[in-house]
Amino acid sequence: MYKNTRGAYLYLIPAILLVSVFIYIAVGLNFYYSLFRWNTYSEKVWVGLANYTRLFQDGNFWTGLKNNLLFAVISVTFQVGIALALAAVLEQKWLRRFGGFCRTVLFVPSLLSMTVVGLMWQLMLNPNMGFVNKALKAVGLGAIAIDWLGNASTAIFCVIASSQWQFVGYTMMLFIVAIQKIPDDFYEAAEIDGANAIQSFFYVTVPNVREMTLLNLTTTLIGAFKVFDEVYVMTNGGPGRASEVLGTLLFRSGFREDAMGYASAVGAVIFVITFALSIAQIRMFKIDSTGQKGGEG
Amino acid sequence: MKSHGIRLSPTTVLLRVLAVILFCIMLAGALYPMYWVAMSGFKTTTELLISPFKLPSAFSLKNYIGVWKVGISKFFLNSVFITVSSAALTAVVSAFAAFPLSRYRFKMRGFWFMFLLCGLMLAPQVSLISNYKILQALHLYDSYLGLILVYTAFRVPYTMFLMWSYFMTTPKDIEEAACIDGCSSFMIFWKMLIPMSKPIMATGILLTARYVWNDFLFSLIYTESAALKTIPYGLNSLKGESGTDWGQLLAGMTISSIPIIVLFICTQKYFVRGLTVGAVKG
Amino acid sequence: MKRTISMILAILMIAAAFAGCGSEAAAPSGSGAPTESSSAGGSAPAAEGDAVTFKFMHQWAEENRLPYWENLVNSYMEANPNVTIETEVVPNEPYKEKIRVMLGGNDVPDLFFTWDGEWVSRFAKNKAITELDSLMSDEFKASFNQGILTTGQVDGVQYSLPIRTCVNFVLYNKQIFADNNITIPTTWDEFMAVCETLKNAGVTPIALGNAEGWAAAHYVSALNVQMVPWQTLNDDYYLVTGDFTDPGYVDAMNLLKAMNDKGYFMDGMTSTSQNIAREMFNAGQTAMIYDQCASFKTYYLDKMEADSWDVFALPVVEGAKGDLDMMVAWVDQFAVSSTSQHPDAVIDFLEYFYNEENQLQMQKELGFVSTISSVTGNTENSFPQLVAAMEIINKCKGFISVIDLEMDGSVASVYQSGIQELFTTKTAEQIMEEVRAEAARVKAEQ
Repeated sequence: MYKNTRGAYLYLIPAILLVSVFIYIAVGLNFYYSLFRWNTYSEKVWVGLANYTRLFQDGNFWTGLKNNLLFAVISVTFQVGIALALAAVLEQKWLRRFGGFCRTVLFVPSLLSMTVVGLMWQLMLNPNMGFVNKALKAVGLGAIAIDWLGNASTAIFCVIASSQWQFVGYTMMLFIVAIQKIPDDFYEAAEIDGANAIQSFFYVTVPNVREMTLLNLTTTLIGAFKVFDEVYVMTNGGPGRASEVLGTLLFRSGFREDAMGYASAVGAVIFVITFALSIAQIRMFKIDSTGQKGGEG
Repeated sequence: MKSHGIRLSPTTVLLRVLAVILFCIMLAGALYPMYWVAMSGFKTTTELLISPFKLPSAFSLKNYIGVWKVGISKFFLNSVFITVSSAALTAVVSAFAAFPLSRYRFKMRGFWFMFLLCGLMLAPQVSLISNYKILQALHLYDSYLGLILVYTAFRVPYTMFLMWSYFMTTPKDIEEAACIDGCSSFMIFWKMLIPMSKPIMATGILLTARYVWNDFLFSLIYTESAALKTIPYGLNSLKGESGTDWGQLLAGMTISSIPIIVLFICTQKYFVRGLTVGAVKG
Repeated sequence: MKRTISMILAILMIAAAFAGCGSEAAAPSGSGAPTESSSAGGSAPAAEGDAVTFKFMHQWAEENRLPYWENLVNSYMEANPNVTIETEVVPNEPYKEKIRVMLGGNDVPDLFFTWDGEWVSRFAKNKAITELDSLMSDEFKASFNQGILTTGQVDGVQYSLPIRTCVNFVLYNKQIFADNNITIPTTWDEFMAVCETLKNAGVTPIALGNAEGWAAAHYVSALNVQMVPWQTLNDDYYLVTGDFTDPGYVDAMNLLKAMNDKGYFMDGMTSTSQNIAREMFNAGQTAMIYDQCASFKTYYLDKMEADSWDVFALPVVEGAKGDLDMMVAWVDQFAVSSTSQHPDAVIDFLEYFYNEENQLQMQKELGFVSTISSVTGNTENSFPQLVAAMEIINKCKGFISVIDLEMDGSVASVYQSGIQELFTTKTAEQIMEEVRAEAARVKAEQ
């Protein structure tokens, strides 16, 4: 009875239509648009690859890419490395009861919208009304109580920090679930062999959550190139263009500087990067339609 | 590890104490900013400027009521409507798609599976400008429907994958038995598979709800009338108004976060399950 | 270039109007009469037609500005029951994105606010806004201050109508100045000495919020006029040469940077919004702020004690090469979308807005300096600080706009965001290097 192909398509059509129009056609159009000079209220002028040439000569593009990479490196450190270590500690038997409470609380920030988190951090770091600088001054660290988001060398790090604050608990939760699936025998065997907690972390936990690690790694990497909301809300790419990421560069070029074609070229670059990473992800987890998959951990 | 009866070495004790201290600091780090926002929502602007740490002098709901009246109520209702519609539509469309992909045998099955799944990899910004033009061409720009369709399109790949993995694990024997009795495929899908898949449906709906409730970018670009804007946009625009009332902004942030946190606490089980099936952020 | 000259003309006309305040104010009201008849209701062409609906978008969302616009729209709709005006109000910063998103949409506002200079000319060149010459009656056109009216023209064609003239001044808190025995500075050195005195007295000298990027750019705009020879400035701004090689540009930014380095601006200047800076000044937390005359009423007069503040012109740098008789000014505009189905109805509404009664009310309620010649010189509804500001304006010979409105959009963007980084990581030389490169790119593209 499941051999009626036409029947199958009947079910598939809504999904195929939506995904085709708003994702595939949209991506195709984006490439097409990147070959013109145009803005929302003008005619399109064919410029060929000029937008791409300009892109690679544009200091702001490189700043954006650099900031995305910073985002990626720091996010991987925190949301993969540190989150795994935290998860392992919380799953220690002597800490389990406290651990349950801990992981729920640390998970909550990831439920907030990035807009709320961005505004929250912006207010916290504000030199006039935020509590961060007042706290620093209170403990005698007045010298480093600077205008965090107004300083070109610290702004991007503050944005990245807000993102870690929001998501460390999230990936930690995923690691906890993966660790819970490791049979207790493994740890007991390690203990009998004389392994201490740190050794059993490296010899039992890490290898057994390998797949979850890979998964978190790739999604965190892809996420780092999709960043938009928190930067837009906290600094809008400023001061100057110091905390620009590719996402905000796209938005600013398109909707602020009337360069839609150029914005589309930035979009194309974001697409190429995230596409490559996603392909790697799908490859790594060997997801296919036959039901064999490894990503679940 | 049997900690009872076994004497712990001093190093272990020290490490454990350190670990507990570390986690207490982290808990404080996670909770304090949220507490500060909720608490500051009760303060006047002057209080905010002068004493950021102190408790508000009076627990007045003035800011909370004020921000609700100023327009958060409208944004809030919009958010609720768009979130519920998008989540429901996504669940239906995804379940429809996951069904043949997990049951039917046809030539293009592998292709369509990858076709839908690869939608996952698209950063929303890439299609921002194109979808802005596509929605205009379809006369769906600046409408609830347009926004809901875009959200659905972006959530279908993941939700489909979620349901597909679940459908793959449900036994097919019962369905085949039913089939002999002359049941149509739709009846099997609707009367048997869906009821069996309630937990995963709940997960899919919750994750879509979280995504839509928190999204800022699409609301920013695909709608233009203030009447259609959702909460994240509303909050950010409060900041932009002249003479920002900071107490109100903080109150608005609190109001907008409560529903999703409450939803999480009530449905923690499903949330976590969904996160671990595909574990794709967003 | 032409704009500059016309601005000079415009200002001379304001001066003339002010010179003869009382008597002059009444005289031209005859020419304003036709507009009043339309306001009386019923006689306008649109009033008899079928039901008409159009959209109106502006940016005055402040709670003490909004009522004026609501009343204006409502009273017009009362007098013209067949007309429905849907108003949308978007605050200043998001407006810049919003207007572009909307112009690309199917539902473009028929009538909308826009800045002058680059904004109007870009909209006009892309045919996003309609020319108004054929829609406006001669009497309507004649009611404007003719010099200022040219700010809405592109190549001699009227594309937008001027709403208000904006010029920046230094506002100061009289009490704080008195407490510290400070006299009004006229030279830059005196100005710096004042700041130093205040700082040493534990008072934050100047409120400045540069999160949006334009507030500090306004200082640079004004200093450029002082530091760079007038002709060079014009050639650079309008990309006649676009060289930007004059050392004055670097000097101008360095003057500003020095102020910040010495701690004359408030904490968190680069990450704080100018609106917060305004609040800090009107709450008496800083001694001075640099702001434009159209903001006086809403942000200061309505919020501070009547005689607690006053204004002076930005002090001049002695011996500078620029033309010290020139100032920085810009004129906000109303434009009509080229896709509007009811341009006649929109023009009728505009005639209503620009009639003497509503313009006087605007001067009174919002403190905007009207662009209608019969109203401009009317000081009856004015207040001392605005009158003082107008006196300063009258002494000056000519104007050029602020950099963020006057230059090509992408050059201005590079310039403006450079200024934001001036206070932490970039030098003035680096910023001018980037401006030169962008100007060269844009010129090549033209």
